[in-house]
Amino acid sequence: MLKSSQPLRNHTSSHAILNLLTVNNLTVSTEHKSGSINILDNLNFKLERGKSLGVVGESGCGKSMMAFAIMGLLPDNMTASGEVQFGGNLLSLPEKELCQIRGNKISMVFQEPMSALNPVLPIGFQVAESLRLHKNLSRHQAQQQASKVLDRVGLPTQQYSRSLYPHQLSGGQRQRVVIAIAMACGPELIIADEPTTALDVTIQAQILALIAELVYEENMSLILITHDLGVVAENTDQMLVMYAGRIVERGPTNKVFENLAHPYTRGLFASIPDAEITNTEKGLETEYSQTNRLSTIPGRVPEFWERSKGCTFAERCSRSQANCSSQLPDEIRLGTGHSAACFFPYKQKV
Amino acid sequence: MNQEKTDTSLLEIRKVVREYILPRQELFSPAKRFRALDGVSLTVNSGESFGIVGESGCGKSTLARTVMALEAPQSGEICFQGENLHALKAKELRRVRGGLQMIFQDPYGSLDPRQSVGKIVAEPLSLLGEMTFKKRNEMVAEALDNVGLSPNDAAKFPHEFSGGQRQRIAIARALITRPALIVADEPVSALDVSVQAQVLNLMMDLRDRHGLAYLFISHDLSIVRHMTTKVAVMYAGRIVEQGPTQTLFDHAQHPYTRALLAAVPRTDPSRKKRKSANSSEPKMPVPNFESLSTNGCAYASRCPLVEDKCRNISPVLQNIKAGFSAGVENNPQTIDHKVACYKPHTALATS
Repeated sequence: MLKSSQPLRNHTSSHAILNLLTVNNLTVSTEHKSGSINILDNLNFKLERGKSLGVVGESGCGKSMMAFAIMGLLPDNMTASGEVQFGGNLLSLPEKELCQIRGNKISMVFQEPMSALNPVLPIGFQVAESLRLHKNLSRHQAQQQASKVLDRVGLPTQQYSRSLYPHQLSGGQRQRVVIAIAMACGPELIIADEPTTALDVTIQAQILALIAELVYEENMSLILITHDLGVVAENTDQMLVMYAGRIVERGPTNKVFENLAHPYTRGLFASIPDAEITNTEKGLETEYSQTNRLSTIPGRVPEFWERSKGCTFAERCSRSQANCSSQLPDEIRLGTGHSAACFFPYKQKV
Repeated sequence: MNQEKTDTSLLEIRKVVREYILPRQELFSPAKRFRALDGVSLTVNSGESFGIVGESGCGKSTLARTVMALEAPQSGEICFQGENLHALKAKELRRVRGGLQMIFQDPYGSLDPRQSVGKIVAEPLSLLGEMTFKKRNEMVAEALDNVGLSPNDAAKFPHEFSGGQRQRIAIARALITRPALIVADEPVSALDVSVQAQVLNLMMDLRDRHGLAYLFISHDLSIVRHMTTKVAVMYAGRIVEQGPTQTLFDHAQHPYTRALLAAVPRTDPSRKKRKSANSSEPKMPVPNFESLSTNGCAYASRCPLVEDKCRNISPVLQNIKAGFSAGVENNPQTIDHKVACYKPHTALATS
């Protein structure tokens, strides 16, 4: 059912620039009663065409804000500075031009499919909407194209009429519609913000497989935002670990999982119970671990206004020393493309 | 509370059926019924953690609510410490309720924002009858201390706490009547990963310290594996597989359990594979629990091993025959390992 007889987008020629998206010094700040606070602090990363980038972190670490900043969808009380290079600098584009990119060149898959879809419009119409807007197709052409896209995401016309409403579909099917909307115009970049958090594990596996397949076939790039380390491990080439608005570790996914260099990454990894092996078998030598108990990271994520000048993880960190809370650690290169923002990263492999 | 117990079973659920009446499709058509629980039986012994896993809509939470006597089943009985909860009079039920407490999923929704923490935690004490003000405060302080909060926190309000701390307050509230059984319905799914581990550790400590039994409901298999000693896998209102946690996870028999386990993403990048367009692996259809027929195995429509028999006669939950596998035969633990399937995994492996 998912055979690609016809790609939805003409592939751009192979000599196209390697980096599709370059983010330089992206800072998002807002006003708080204690003064101006940074939600995101100096993010830098690149994403190559056709690659996938996983972004992990706990709630409040700014991973969704990063997506909104790239898409130009920040709430009114927040301001972004820095550069988001995607052809041009997205942050300096006027709203009108941004509208031509949003949903067309960059599109987004949201977490909660019920609220991402309009409950009073049929699914066929909702997929056709962006095609009519961006591709100047007639109503009829757009409907036909939308139907093809829905076929591709696993909702064949025979079983799923295009005039169904979102409430008539299950959560997984709704998420397929959201994916269809996101890829209708053949975007170059898809940002999926917790696309499977609201779904069951078996459905999650299907949706992730579908996203991976579409991204691969259409040669799109993917930013996959999630709190689930397992999802990142299985679905991405590169990954970023974020904590309190900063990137604390980055690198090729397998390298990061091999090393878990930043104490936060290691603590996060140790605190998830594994369905296959117990914690003791994992052999993780962290200071947090105790036998038969889950290892935990003490304390909690600091609120934005509580963040210290130095490393934001310092007060929860078992390896922190005097300079950690006063000085901001630079990213230390640990291997090809792999680095961690820590004065005392773990050097031995897991 | 649990001093005069002779036998070890704390909670016995026998063939519980709970049906909901769905809205009619047409004005004069008969109302359809949706069977959320279809003959569920299980036993929780005191001091034991019993896990229930399954996808959304499979009846996990309905089971929790029926066990808490918040909903009455259409048939079957639920016995807590030898008393059938749904046959008790309201006054007697109140007395029994002290031994039976619940922790809810969302710590933001389950605490009244306008009550102080002290008041929230003290509320279940009304079940225990009259009590002096001093005694009451002492018990609140003790409960808060038990969950790692300070007794001074009693004067604060829920909004002053983070998600993990709020869940601790909810646990303190459940703990204050010294219950024998705590029903935990997805207690950590609303929490962040690093905080999840803290709350789970607390729950394990309390179990060891107070001899609590948990009915632990979760969709997260790894957490259930870590927290429980026995587990039941539910699908469409029925238990499809049940057994000691370790055995069940290591030797999963039912195709649904196996699919569930296989679907959990692992933190191992080497498992990553590029899915090609014509990948031949069968796609698992999406379940629609409301449209299931009552005959036959509920999982038949999604099962890769389905045969005619499965569609017509429901398989019964029964012990795995020792003869299925030589390896399993000698293990006495497998005696409790039950599966409702005509083609359990070990049977296939040997044939």
